[in-house]
Amino acid sequence: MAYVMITAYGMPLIFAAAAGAALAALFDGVMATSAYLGRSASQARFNQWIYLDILRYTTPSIMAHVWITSFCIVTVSIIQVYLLTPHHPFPIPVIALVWGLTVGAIGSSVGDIHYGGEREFQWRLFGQGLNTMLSGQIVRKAEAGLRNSIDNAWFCAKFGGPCTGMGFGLTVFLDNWRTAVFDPVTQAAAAIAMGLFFVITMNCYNFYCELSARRKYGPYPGYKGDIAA
Amino acid sequence: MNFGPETIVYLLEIIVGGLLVGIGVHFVPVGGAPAAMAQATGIGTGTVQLAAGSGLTGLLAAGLMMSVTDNIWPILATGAVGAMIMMDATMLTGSWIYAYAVGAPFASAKVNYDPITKFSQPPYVAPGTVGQGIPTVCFVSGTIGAAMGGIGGAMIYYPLVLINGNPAESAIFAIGIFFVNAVLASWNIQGTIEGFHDPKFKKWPKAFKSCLVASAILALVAVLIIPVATSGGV
Amino acid sequence: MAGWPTKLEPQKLRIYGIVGSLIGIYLAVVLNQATGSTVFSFIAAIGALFGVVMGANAVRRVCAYGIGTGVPSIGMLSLGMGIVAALFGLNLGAQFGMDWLGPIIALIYSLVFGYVVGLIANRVMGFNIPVMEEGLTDLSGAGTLAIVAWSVAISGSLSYNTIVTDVFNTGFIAIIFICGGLAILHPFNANLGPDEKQDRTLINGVMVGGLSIVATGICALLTQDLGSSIIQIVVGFAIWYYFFVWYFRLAKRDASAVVGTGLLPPSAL
Repeated sequence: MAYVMITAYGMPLIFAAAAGAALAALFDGVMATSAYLGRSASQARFNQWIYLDILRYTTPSIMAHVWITSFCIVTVSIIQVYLLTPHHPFPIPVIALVWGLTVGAIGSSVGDIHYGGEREFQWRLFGQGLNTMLSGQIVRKAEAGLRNSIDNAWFCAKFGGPCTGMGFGLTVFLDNWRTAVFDPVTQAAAAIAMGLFFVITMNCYNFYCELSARRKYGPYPGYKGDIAA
Repeated sequence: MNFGPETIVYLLEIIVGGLLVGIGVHFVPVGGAPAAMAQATGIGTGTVQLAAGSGLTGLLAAGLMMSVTDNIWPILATGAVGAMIMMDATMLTGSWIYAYAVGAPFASAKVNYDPITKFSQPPYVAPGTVGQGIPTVCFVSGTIGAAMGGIGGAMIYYPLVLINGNPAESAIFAIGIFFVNAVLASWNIQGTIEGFHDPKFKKWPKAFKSCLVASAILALVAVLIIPVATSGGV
Repeated sequence: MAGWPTKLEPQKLRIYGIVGSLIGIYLAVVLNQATGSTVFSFIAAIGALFGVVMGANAVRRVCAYGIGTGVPSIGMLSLGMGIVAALFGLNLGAQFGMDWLGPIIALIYSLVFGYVVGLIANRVMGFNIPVMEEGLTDLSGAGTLAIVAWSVAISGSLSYNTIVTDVFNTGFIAIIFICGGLAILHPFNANLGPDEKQDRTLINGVMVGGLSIVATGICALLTQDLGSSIIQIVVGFAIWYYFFVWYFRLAKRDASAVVGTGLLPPSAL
């Protein structure tokens, strides 16, 4: 929708991005509502009720977050097509599609971790993975009253969201910075070498994380096998 | 329809690109929902979504490169590097959370010693889980998988633009072919895989054959599409 | 609510899907040409809904067997196959000089390709799911029909060059790709569970299809004049609203209880 606004009506870029993001937020509100209604209705034999107040106060916050996401993705696409010098040949909706799929993949792999590992299963000891036996022990009672889906996801949204942003931001930045600094026509080799340097650095950083985790937490004390730590 | 010797080269390029995408999906460490809860090794998302995210980012980078040069090697290299950066950034951010926030040492339950760092794995696998986090071998395997996906996507895109000279149309066409190969390969994996050290990895010949047939048909269709000057009829 | 049969056979849905979409496409193109304007493109958009329903039912049947990768990947597969088929059909039609042949070529090719992919999945990968070939044929056809129909809705005619300029160069094909994919995969994903009912799932599909018509209407603001796009947006909104209310009523019928607020069900506490 942002593309339509820009080309057909010559609107300023930021305003078009905001309007397009608003449309995306409305779409996603409908999707979220229909998904909640549908899945709860399909679990009727397990006596799962549909709570309308959950719909009422989770949907606006979902839509707000979708607005922010769409606005940022559209802005990135606009910058890539209109403002950077080796300007991207793909049209804005295609670039937005690719970045949207990427954000979805990153959000699912990075943001999900803290949901289960920290807040939902509180019988898990810090320093080990989640035992399958504890999978059913979802914390349902809160400090006062019951927990609902927003309470469980509270820490994940506060922490997992910015982590997703960091992952996505790293990707977009490292990807585009190389071609902005090194002109792709004459210094293509330098841009590619820079990318390889980033990849190797990230590999080494993960190795360091693994080393540090092993040192800090140590082997599992109940381990009875014969392989040395 | 003009068939020349280049058409055979284009056909082969698209087929090889599709095969690379299919096999690359097998290298990416995917754990599904259990991995997100620190119950299994790998990244906690679906195979297709991760492969699509990384491969299409590579396609984006390759598209940018293709607008300034026609030489195939920088385009393929840029595609690979773009995809690798996305996959590595995702895995690295996940590793930060696994190591420092959730608090679980990385371990894989499928091997006794990590093939690359020679660390021992079983003492660090918590009981009731099949590993946690992203050990170094999974990280490297994921990088290789992303590189193959990126090169594959760029390889599909390159001959398409040369055939019909329209980057937007070729991009969408390449995305379509990419998705078909990625989903076929992910069906072969049946949900989760840890990388090239996983015993499940030995199933890759099946994906090879499936992607070969599918990509061959798609490549044949792709080379038949040429720019049409005028059109009559309705 | 009268008008929706309790159980729709897949064969009937397939016929409705193919015939409905094709009628929508051709009616829109013929009317547009006859009146020299683009006002009737919304008929093609409605025709796409028939294909979407066919695809959503195919997703239901295939995914019920548990293929291990999740529902969104099937939706993306269907759209991926559909894009290739749609482009191929339209281009071949233009090469032969007969534009109106385009959708038929696209449909035949996509059905064949879907069947081949189903064969691969069953024989080479050893799935042995009985409805795999049939389901994938349906899915591939549904994706193609949805893409062709919505492309006609945005561009107003079947000519290959017009569609390339209006839909592909502008990038709106990406919007059709995602909206179509969502319309095909969201119904089953959103109604996943042991008590999933066919009519609720398919009505969900039509509702998301209505949303997609609003999206293509907004895209048409660029490629067509204001009047025809406003018609598309209004029609899409009306379809969405009507089917969303129907869907809510069906959800109330199927759920064990719908309450305004409250504690967990007594059996769980």
